[in-house]
Amino acid sequence: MTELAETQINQHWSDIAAKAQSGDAAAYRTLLSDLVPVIRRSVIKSLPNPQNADDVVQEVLISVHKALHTYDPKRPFMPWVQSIINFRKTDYLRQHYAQRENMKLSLDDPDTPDYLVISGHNGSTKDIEDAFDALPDQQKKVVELMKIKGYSAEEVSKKTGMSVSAVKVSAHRALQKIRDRL
Amino acid sequence: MTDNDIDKTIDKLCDGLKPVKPCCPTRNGLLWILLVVCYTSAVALTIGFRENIAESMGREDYVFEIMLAFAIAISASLVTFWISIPGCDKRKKFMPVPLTLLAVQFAWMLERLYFEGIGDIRENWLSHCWMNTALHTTLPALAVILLVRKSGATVMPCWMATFALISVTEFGWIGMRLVCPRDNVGEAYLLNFLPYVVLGVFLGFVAKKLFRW
Repeated sequence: MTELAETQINQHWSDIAAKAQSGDAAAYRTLLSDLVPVIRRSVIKSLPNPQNADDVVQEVLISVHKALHTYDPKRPFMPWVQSIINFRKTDYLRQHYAQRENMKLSLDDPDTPDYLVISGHNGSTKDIEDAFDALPDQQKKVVELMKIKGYSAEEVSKKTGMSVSAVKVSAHRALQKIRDRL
Repeated sequence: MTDNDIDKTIDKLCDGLKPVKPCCPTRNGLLWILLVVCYTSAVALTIGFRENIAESMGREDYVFEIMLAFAIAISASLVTFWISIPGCDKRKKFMPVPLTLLAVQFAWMLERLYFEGIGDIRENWLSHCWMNTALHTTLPALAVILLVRKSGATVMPCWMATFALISVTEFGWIGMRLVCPRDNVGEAYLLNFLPYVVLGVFLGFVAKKLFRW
């Protein structure tokens, strides 16, 4: 995202928040509705059970409502709302882990959190091997030396005769290809 | 919880929307400081200044002590109000200011304690000083709690309680140094200052509940 676009987005948030502060219900509805995916995206990775994300989303919305008077429209909106999100998320996690049963994990039947499973993918290392095999030979060699054997870019450069920047670019492109394939 | 539930929550919140005026934590902080300075002066006048106040004001160590306490009180008060609202990241940078000054004060007290000794602390253990101390600080403490609860919504309740406590304590300390003629650091520190530290520890435990929003 360019700096200009980011500034415009920030300005948009600040504008609708200022309108909400002045009592504009339509702007307030837009603000809260637009915030829902932002909050959800922000909390979902940190929760032990992503199904509970909406509970936190609701808590955050209520907190935004209660703290609306503390927002200064001259300042950016996102840091303000992000600090509320972090606060409520921490609160939620504290309560969650305070319950004894949430601290236990059965080893007989471990529940893999949903976010660790990519839908439509069986999660097998075979897929990674296949993606790796599909790489061109040079990229395969670079990835093997840098990411599997742990050589530095300079060392790989000496071994392969490529320049250091070419090694870095090659490694980056190779990982991107593996990621796309998975 | 479904999207429907979230929509219902948004509907409910929109129905309950009332125009709000953005609060200004700096203004609230300065207002509180002004109130406390007036209150401390009024209490000191009511109790009566120490007899040797004129002579004390000519002593460098006494003036340094009062000025240091005042600097801590002012900076801690401002930080308290600044962190009473979310998204105060830029102002969090000021948090080390009162803490550093407080460390200087502790070092100064310890140095004096080393040279002056603890004094006749046992004889004055439950003296009128505690009453005066309570008089100096109870109302400012209540005022800061009410102001912060009313106009703020902190995401750092424990830190905020700590800074509020530091500011109330330092203003109380200044008040006591203006009225109490005893300059012995053991007595002054243990009777007029340490009780707040103990109270502060307990306050820390209830900070989250006290500043819940």
